[in-house]
Amino acid sequence: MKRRPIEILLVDDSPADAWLIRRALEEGDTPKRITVIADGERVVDYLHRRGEFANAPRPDLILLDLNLPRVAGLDVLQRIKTDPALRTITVIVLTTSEASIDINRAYDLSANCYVVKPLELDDFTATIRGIENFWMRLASLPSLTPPAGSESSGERNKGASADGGLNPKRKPSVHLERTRLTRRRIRASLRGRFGVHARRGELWR
Amino acid sequence: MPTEAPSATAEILLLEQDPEEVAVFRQATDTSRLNVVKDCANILRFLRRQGQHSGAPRPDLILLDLELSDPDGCEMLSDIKKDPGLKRIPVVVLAKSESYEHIFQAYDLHANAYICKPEDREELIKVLRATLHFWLALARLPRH
Repeated sequence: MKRRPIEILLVDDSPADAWLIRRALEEGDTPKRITVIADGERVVDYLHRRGEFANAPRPDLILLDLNLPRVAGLDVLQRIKTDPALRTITVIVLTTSEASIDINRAYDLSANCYVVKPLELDDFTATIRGIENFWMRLASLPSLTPPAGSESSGERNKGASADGGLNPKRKPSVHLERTRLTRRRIRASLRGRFGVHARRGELWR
Repeated sequence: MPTEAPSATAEILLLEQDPEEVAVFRQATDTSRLNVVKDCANILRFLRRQGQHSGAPRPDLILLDLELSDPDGCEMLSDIKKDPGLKRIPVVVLAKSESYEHIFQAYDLHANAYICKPEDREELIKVLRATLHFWLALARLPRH
């Protein structure tokens, strides 16, 4: 059914969370390409293909944290959902905030859904799996549906398989916006999030 | 920490004309809090507690069995999503159409999600259960 890898834009300024989300997404078997951006202003540039992002692909799905440097997550959400050229992109708010004011505001600004990042590692993986099951298997997204009059789906499939996009065994590719997410930085951040677990190396299986 | 289980108490508003399909939804939801209306006009009356719906509960989730080729349906979806008092309620569209135009239009009108409704009854129950699992157990719904 899916004709090419799903383009996912992961917006999160916590290296630990970005790493965990990415890892959980990579474990799922839907073909996908993940881009990670840690800064609200750069997300806006990315979506408008400005400057260094001139060739950025249009995301099918955005996973958006609310606590971002420079441009806050809710502002990023508002900019996407009030822009006729961007507003049909699915935006999943994925954040630590459980505050009603954030949940209500996100839905008021037309977030497609709001998911709270769990505190426990196992729940974290299950949550990302749930997002994958609903948004990448069950729901239909406009950018993944061929417009009428375009090539038949068979043709599209042929094109997609040429770059390996249809092969579910293929590892999802990950584009880190910058290489600042060093292993040491992620580990330090994970330690901050999960305390002793990260030190025991359980996260590095 | 166990996640809250709002599914037992969540109020669902369903737009469905076909009584047989209502039965399928009832089977899939396992909840008595399924409020069913049969047409677009009544969805808005229910949400605005007008007329016979004056005592209606505020739904946590809206499921619309609706084709986007139906102008009344588009207008109703648009009315919900333009109403500052209603727009935050998540709306999931369930439709037979798999066409790009209809899927695009649903998201363009700010439907929260679009699901292609399978013809097969057993498949439909599975899809509905998975949909409700996501919205009621995983996602956080707005509060009133």
